[in-house]
Amino acid sequence: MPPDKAPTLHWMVVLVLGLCVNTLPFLCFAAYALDLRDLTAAAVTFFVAPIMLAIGATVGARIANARVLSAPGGLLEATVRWLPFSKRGKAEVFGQLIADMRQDYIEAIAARRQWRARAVVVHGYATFGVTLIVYIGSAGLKRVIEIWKLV
Amino acid sequence: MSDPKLPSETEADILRLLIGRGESYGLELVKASDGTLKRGTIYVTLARMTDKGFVESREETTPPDEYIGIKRRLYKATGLGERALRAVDHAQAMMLGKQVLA
Repeated sequence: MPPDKAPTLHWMVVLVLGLCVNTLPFLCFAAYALDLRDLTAAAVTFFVAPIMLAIGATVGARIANARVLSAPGGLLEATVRWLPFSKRGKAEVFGQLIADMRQDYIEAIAARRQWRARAVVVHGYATFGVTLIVYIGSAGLKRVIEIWKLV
Repeated sequence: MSDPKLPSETEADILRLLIGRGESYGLELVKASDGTLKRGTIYVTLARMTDKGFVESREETTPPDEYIGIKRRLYKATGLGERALRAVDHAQAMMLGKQVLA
């Protein structure tokens, strides 16, 4: 299965199973509320149904052994946006680093190597730290040399 | 101080790989280098080499993978990079030759 199709398929499995699991209790609650014409029961129905839906979706996902994938490195992307670096530095250095991490992560997930995928994320964060130090050090050294030449 | 127009050892390694492989992603260079190049430094080095004119880069033309969400860059050696690498290789050969004679 191509890795880019996986999240969509997983969502569909979660949705279908979640709806199946929840149809019966929802109907029971609705019938109970309408029959008694009790506003409290109706309110409970509307509060309980979403909770049941969420539980059902989780159970459905567990049964299907499915998991919704989210791209790793979101925190790194946010950090890069916040850092006072040039647009080019952000795109050509840190952006590429995050893209590489995601590429490796996809490959590991596609090969069903969960631990490898986790290791990729940990390694990605460590690499990001090293790059940050090298980038700042390199830029600082460049600036010192420029000032040295002026003096 | 060394001549800034000559590539360093790491830069020469990158140039050799780029000339041998053609246009490549940074990650491909790291994997092809057998541990010589590190992920933590490759893009900083490539950015520096771009400033020096040894390599040039472009964004991939295909839209980025939905999951990756970031356009990746392809790097290739420039004419100046190739000439600089030849100069370094020539200088190294000369030095080795002198050592052998001595």
